[in-house]
This record gives sequence, C-alpha cells and structure tokens, in this order.
Amino acid sequence: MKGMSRLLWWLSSGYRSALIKSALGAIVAVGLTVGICALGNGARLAIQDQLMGGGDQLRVKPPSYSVGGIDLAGSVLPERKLDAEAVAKIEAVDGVAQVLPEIWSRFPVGFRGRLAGQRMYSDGALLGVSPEGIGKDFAGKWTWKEGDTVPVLAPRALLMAYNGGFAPANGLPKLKEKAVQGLKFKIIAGQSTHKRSPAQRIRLQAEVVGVTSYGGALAGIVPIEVIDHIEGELNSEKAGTLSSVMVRVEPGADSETVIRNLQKAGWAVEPLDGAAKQLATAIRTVDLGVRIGGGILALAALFLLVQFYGVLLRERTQDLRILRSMGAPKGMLAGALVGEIAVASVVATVGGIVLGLVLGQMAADQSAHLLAERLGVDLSIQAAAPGGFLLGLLVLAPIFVGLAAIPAIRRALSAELVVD
Amino acid sequence: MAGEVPNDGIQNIAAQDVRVVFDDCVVLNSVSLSVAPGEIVALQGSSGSGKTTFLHAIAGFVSLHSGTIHVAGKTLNDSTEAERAAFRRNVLGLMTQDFHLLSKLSAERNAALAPLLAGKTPAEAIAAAHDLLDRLGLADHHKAPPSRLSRGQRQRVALARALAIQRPFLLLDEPTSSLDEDAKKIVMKMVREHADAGSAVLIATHDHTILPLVDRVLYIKDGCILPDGPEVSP
Repeated sequence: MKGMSRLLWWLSSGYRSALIKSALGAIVAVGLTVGICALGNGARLAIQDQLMGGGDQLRVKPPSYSVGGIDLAGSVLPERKLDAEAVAKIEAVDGVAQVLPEIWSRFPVGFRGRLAGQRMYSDGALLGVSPEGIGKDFAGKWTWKEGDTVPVLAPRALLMAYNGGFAPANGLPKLKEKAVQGLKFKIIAGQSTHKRSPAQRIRLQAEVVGVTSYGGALAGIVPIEVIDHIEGELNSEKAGTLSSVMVRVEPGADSETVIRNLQKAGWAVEPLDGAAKQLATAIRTVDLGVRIGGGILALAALFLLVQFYGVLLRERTQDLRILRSMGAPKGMLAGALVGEIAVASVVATVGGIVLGLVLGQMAADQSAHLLAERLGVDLSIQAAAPGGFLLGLLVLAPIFVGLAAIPAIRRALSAELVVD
Repeated sequence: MAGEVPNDGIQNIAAQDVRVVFDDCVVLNSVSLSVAPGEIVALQGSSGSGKTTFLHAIAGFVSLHSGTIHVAGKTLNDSTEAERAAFRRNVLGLMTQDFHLLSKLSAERNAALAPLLAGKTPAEAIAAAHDLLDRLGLADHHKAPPSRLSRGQRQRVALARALAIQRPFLLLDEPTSSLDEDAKKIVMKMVREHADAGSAVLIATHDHTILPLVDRVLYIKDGCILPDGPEVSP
C-alpha cells in the first residue's frame, strides 16, 4: 500500500495539472448540483420552521363527525372534551414530547384600527396560546390581565398572504415584519361583519408585539387568558375547555407513527396550515426530484472526469509500458491508477460540495432578500444540502469513478511491453 | 565460450540453444552463452544481428521458440509474467537502446524509479539517483525533464537508472553510443564497479572503443554467435 501510494505520487507528477483541469469541470458540475439541492432543502426547512412553526408539531382536536352540517360527535356520540385528563392521556401517547393547550376563538371576532394611514376593519380569528407555546422571545411578556393591552403575535403566513396577494390587489402598501411590530388596533369580540353575538360585544386594546410562525396559524395569537376572559364574558358554554392542543413530537420520533397513535387513541389530528403545508410538500417533491436528478447529474459529471482520465491514460500508455518493463507489477500500477482517479474524484466531489454550499448560500441569501422585498417576511434561508446526500456522494463518487475507470486502465496496462 | 554452458545454479546468466522467431523469420538461432558474476561480456554485431533481441529475451520481453535461459539458477522460460516482473524489478539492471525515460518525470525521478520500484524509500531513491547523476556529469540537470536534455544526457539518465542500485545482473544495450570519450570511461568505470561488486554484466554494443574495457567479447551475426569472432575482410 505504501509502495502504491509512493508510485501514485510519482506517476502523477507532470500529469497533475491536466488531472486538476479535468477535475475542475467535475467540481463545477457537482457544485451546481449540490448548490441547487442545498437551496431547495434550505428553502423547505425555512418554510417548515419559519412559516409552519416546525415539522415536528401536530394539532390535535376532539373528533367531529359531521353529517349534513350536524356534528354527531356532540349529540349521538359521547362528547370528547379536551380537559386536563385528556391532555394527560395525550401526553402519555408514544412519541409525544409536549402538549401545549390552545383555545381558538369560538365567537365572532373583528379587528379595527389604522393600517398605513387607512382605516381598517377586518374579520378574523384569535388563537389563545400558553407561554410555553410561543418561544423564548415572547414568553416573558406573555401574560395578560383585564385592563392590560392584549399582546398579539401576527402569523408570518398571514403577513405573507397579505403582502403577496391582498396588498397588491387592493393598492395597499406591503408591510415588513418590523413595520407590523407596535401596530395598535382593537379586538372586537362578539361581532364580525356577518355575525353578532347575542350577548354582548367586548372591546380590547391590542398591540402587535412580534411575528410568529406558531402552528402555521392564520389567526392573531394571544395569551390563552384573553380567550378565557372573553368566553367568560360572553357566557360561552365552552368556556374553560380547550379547543385543541399543539403536540410536539419527540426528537427522532416518526411524525406519521405519532399521528397514527393519536388517531388510535380517538383524537383527530389536523394538518397545520394547509397552504404552507402544501407549499412545503411541493418543495419537498421538487427537492426530491432535484436530489435524484442532481445525483444523476453529479454522476454524469464524474463520468466525464473518467472520460478525460481515459484520454490522459492513453497519453501515459508509453510510461506504463516502460514501468512494466522495469518490473512494476500490473496490479500495483492498476491500484495506483485507480487510487489516482479515486483521489481526483474525491477532490472533485469535496471541491464541488464546498462550491455548491457557497453558491447555494449565495442563492439562498438572494432568495431571502427577494422574499423580504416581495412578501415582507424575514425568512432566513440556510443552504443546507442533506447530510445523507453529501455523504452518499462522497462515498459513491470514488467507487463509481474507480469502477468506471477500470476498462481504460485495463486497456492502458494491456499494451505490449517496451521493445526497441 | 559459446557452446555448452554449464548451469551451476549460482548468480550467472546462462542461455542455451536459444531460438527466437518473429513471423517466420529466425532472429536468434541456437544462441548459447553464459556470463559469470563479476564478469563483463560485450556482445558485438552489426545492426539486425540479434544483439538487442537476445538482451530482450533475457529480460523476458520476448518468448523463446526453443532453448532455455537460466538466471541465478531459475529457468526464465517457465516463469509467470509476475515472476518475470519481479525478476526485472529486483534482480536486473536494464538500459534499453532508446533509453525509455518517462517524459514527464525529471532526470532525478527517472533515475530514482528503479530503486523506488525495488522498495527503497523516495528519499533513498532520490539520493541514489543524485549520486549517479552527479558522477555522470548531470549535477546541474537533476530537475530537467528528458525533453530538455540532449541525447547524450538522456543516455546518461538511463544509465543512472540502470546503475542506481547494485543488481546481480546488468543488461546494457548500446550504453555508450552517444557519449564522448571521457563520459565513456566514466560509464565503463561505474560498470566495472558493479561487476567487481558481483554483478554479471552483458553489454550489446557497436562501440569498439569500449572493448578493451570488458572481460570478454562475443560476436553475433544473423542470430548466431560466431565461435571464432568476426570475419575480417582482407
């Protein structure tokens, strides 16, 4: 092995620049492939984590069996309430790491205020969330008591929908995340444009304190006490019960298995926000296609490297004949040549991966900039090619190239010995 | 000395009734000779007489039609390709007529190839190459590739490669054809040192000037060793 590596080093001297030039083409091709994969994967992760609130979250609700608009779950079938006992049972399901209580506004809600200098009135929804659910940035100020201004977190997906469609269609200015913060408005509970609570209306002063991706919800996120308070004031029969819980899946656990376990336990598992989910699924599909196509492209690039190497070997046939005439064993020469091209392919692959990650990050930064400009959302996209893909490429490249180069090496070594 | 050759099993080269045929053309016909350790034998003959083919037969480059070649007591005819490669790598120092240098390697690396293949470390191989190249007057050309060397310089690099390590057998094909008189003397002195250290040396040459420096001269014509030397025209 030592002799082979010495011979490899000596033999390659004088041919290294040609070998490096051959490898450069492969570096660019592998780099583009890895770059596209890294961008696709990074975008998927960014959407999943920053728009949908993470791929490890599930929203669990009591099941509803609706027939002709009548919910049988609460009539024919025994009602399932999300109370403390139910939460404990859900916590005990395999793969569940944390259960976070949620209460959706089960009453009409309107928002009134001024947006970009214009009066605004809009129907909407509220989602009451406990401090554990909204992350450490806001958990400290996530308390509310009657008379306080209601802290509201605006959903990033809603901001994106507003900037991407609503604002341009209605001649309204786009809103950046920072511009939304500090926005003051009134929550009018018990009344919307098409529905009015028979009891009373409750007005609460509210202020946007930040933007969140929590649960992919298209609702104003408020402390859970706010919903409790409103439902109490409106004498809602559902007051004091949860409407859903956010389940965080244990790290490493399979989400699909956890979903099945929860469904077996009699709970309905609702996908997170449909649009974001669909977008993520679409990106995942494209990402998978890019990964497969990228893998094929990378192998094609490496195959080109093998072809260049074959040409280089033909130039070196005379050298190989001389070495064999001097007694260099065929096996040793073959091993040295396979090693040489394998090293070249590893260099090409590693170089390609580095180039790809750099290109991918540049493209990701550009994409994030474009998203911020067009949709007003501050998505941070980190180009991140999947580790398995990179590892596979690193392991497979030298094996593939080594095997593909064998016919050319055999041809070069089967030439007659040097005879004057 | 041509004729019956004893195969005593020691470090000598012994060929017996060697016959080589290329495309129905007899190139070597019943050639027999031996070279003992410490002996320098010159094989003289005109172009196409079979000198080089005989050296190639000993090196295992060409197949014998009949006859046997014993080297150090082993019969080369029966050896496998791998065994012949090991013989060339470990036992034989060889300089071919066309030098056969690796075009992209420097003079020092070309000269160091033989010791490297024989298992020396790169540092040892380079040191041996430097020593030989310096003695052959190429001290200023260690790093030069063959393309930047004259024919005579390339010949000296090829000689340095063949002589870089002490081998039991040395086969040199026209080792002095492009050298001046001083260089010839240096080369033959180095060859003598190898012989004195125990090498059996066989030189194929046209060069009459080196004949006084060898121990024995054999003449070959039309593939046959002439028992009484060349015919001299009146």
